[in-house]
Amino acid sequence: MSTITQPQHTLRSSTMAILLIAHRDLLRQARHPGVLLGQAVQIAFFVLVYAVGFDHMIGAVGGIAFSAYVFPGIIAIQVVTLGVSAGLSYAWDREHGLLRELLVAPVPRICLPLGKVAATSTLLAAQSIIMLLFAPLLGLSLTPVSFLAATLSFTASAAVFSALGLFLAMVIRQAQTLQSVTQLAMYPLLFLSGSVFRVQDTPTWLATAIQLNPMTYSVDLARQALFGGIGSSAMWLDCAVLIILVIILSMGIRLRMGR
Amino acid sequence: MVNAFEVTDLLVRYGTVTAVDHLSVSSPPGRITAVLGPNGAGKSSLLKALSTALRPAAGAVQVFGHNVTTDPLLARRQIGLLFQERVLDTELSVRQNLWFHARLFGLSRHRAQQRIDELLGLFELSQRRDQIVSELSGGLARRVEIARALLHKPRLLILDEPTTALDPEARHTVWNDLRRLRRELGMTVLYSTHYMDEAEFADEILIIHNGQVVHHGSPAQMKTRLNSSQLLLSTQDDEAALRRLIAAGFDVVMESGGLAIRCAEPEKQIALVVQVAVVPVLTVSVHHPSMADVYLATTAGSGQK
Repeated sequence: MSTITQPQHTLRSSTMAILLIAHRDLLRQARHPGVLLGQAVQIAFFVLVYAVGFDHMIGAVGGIAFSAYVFPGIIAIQVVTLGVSAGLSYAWDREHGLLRELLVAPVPRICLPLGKVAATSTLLAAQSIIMLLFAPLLGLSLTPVSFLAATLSFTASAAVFSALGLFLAMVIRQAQTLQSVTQLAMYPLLFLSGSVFRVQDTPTWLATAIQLNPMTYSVDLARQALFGGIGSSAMWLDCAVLIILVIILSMGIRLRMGR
Repeated sequence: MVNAFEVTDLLVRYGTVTAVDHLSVSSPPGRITAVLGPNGAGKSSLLKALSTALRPAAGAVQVFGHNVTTDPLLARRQIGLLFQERVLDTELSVRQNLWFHARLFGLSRHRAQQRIDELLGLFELSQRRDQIVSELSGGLARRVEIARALLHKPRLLILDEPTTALDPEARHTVWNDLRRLRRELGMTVLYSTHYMDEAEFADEILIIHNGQVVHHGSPAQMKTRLNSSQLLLSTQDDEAALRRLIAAGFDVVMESGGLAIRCAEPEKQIALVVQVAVVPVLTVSVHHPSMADVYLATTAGSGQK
């Protein structure tokens, strides 16, 4: 048996393969500016109607205007929605046979889903930056540090939740079924997370449900990055939950993908 | 010398369905092998197992000595693959499609560029390099796929029904390309097809049915064994013609529409037959064994159920 695979070489070529697959994916997405524009309009609408609209009704949360308080939550909704949807787009590509060629390329198969994760994270990092630039309009002042920290936290969340989407795509082989499951899971995931209200103000049973939702930690991380000190859990805990989750998901993906 | 591919006792299952049933086949480098068989015979499964896309349930598959299960990455480097479905990225340009493939197969930037230029030239696609794939005709897209499969200089080219869904002209072009590749590069080729005329390009034909090899041999062997090419004739007096043809040693039978003469190369017999028949001939047509004829004849001959 000729197993002459040098580990460092494999790591280097795998990284390159992931970047290539991500590059290809981004190029394909760039061919649909309409989709990106639609996403932008959707979030602008959300901020305008939800945040600004409720502002006058609710007022301030912990000394911060409501619209500013929910702003990171709204960005997180965008990040998680599009992140999980990456799995769906992967499943459709698979259904259309687009992945077959990549599956027989001489690179480890896990590079495929990881390439999709990388592409999605890059795209969502860019979207988060653009959205954060609008923060001052909602009375949210940014410092270079908070801007950077928030961008990093959204990018990390994008990676975690696109890994979740891809893991689901590995488990559920049919794109149609996956679509229904994703839609079903999306609402509890998005709204039982403290994205649009404060966890501490909810009844205990709801707070428990919220604490079981991984997105809660990603919203909390972003909020703490922007405001500091008003989170529902410690920042290290937020990070730990997200890191453990991404490790478990990657292992699951690796297991389902094979070599 | 190590075989280009070697399949030993291969078993492929989908749930409870057995697609490939303890099949063995091998090829030395440089040979062209055609796989024939009806839908569901296990052609695609065999090719998938060989191209590392599918994990065999049992048996061993080696490509230039690399086991596809234990050494998939090394095996994949040896293989150029053309799928039954179109798998180009239709939203990207011809060059981009080739570029990503070349880079994924480990070619350096410089080398990738060089190979792309070479292959675009070889396939007369240089003018199309920046065109989006969805704007190409089916035949041209197929050429791009063949070019792409060759970028990393594979030693074994695997083609799963390469001309399905192509118009006759495009089919013709594809086969011209493939024959040229064989001539100029001496590649080992394995392809599956539904068309008997396409099987003739092969050195070795493999007919599979129910996941097993029911016949293998060269096209010439196959033809002589079958001897089922026919010349169909209608004349002003079929009975008279029949008598004369039998007297001249032809294998003739009377059928509803006229006479059927079984012979190896019917085209070359037309003049002689018309001459021997003497009575005025109204129509002449040549019938070559179709995939179905060959398939039915071989399965009947091999005593299969």
